[in-house]
Amino acid sequence: MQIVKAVESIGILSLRGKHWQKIPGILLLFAVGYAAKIIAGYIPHIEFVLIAIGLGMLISNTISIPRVFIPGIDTYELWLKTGIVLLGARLMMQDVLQIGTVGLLLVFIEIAVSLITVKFLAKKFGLSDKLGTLLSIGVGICGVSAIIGGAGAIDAEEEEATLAIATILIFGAVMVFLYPLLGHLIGLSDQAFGFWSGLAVDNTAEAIATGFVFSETAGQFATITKLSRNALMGIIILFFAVSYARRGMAQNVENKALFIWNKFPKFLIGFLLMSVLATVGFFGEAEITNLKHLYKWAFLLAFAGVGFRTRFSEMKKTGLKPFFVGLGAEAVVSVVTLVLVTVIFM
Amino acid sequence: MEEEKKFKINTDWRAVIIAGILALLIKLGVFSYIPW
Repeated sequence: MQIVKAVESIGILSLRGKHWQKIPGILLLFAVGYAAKIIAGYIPHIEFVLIAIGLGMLISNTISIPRVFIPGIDTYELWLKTGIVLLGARLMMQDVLQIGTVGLLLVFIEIAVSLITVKFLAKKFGLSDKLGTLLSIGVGICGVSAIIGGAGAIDAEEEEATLAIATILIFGAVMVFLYPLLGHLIGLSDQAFGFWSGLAVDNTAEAIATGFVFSETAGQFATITKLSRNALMGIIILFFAVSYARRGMAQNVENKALFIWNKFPKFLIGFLLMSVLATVGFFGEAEITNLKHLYKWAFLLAFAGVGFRTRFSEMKKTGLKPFFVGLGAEAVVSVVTLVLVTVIFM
Repeated sequence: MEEEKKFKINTDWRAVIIAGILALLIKLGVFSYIPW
């Protein structure tokens, strides 16, 4: 319960509310997404994703959003996951397995670098042990979801979870705008950039958005790479949960297989099922085109929501020390993963 | 912990169900005439 409070206190999620209360906010996401689509038609070389996020950010940081819209805006994660599942139909199973296998190997390196760097910096800056762990989970694996899951597993304080989430969100917001520019400046290919954003950007929404801002192909590579990272969430959190339990700082994990299953991103199963259906020819060409339009719309709603959620006033809740630990870790992880993808794919 | 689990399961499985329904509707040709 305290984790739910931590998440809500930072203003990014409202986990309560009836379904009908979500309608105004969903309509607002739709309106912003539609506006982004129209504006994107007039501005060459700028992807709709960036405009959707930018519009959401502009609105939420300049005016106070009426409370009636909040429950619907908070459904952005549902649309993101729906879009990811639908995207599965655009990718053949052999491609998913090939990209996923390479991605998984790179993810192991990325997670190791993240965990070691964050833990080292956290110690240097005098952060609490559990805050250091939450930051390392956030940077290494899956941003906000992993921090929420990790905080529960290691019995972290509400304030530690809040600080870790705020830190991760700051860098996510910056990366969506900065990394595609860097990618173009360096001259990365779609494939290399997709792997890079899937590896280096923390939060799933921002990682996928960063890929799609660069190009659609990069977005697809980023999605598969990020999903490989997410799939490891349960194992990494279990590692920390067991480690803290052994030191008497958290509760014991009774059923480890169930623990991993509970943390496993279930929408990944939907994504793989869609890919299998596409591979066996279940969808015709026209149907695949319709699926593409639908996943783009789901992403439009999701990324408009990401923009709305990015409120700079809320991000001030991060402390200076967690900020610098995050900054150092993001820099190291970004450089290491950039070198990796450049060497392998360029 | 329970809240977190409930929230995660809800969004994960809901996304799969919504995507499944949309794919089914596409199969039935419902979206054929939509000017995307």
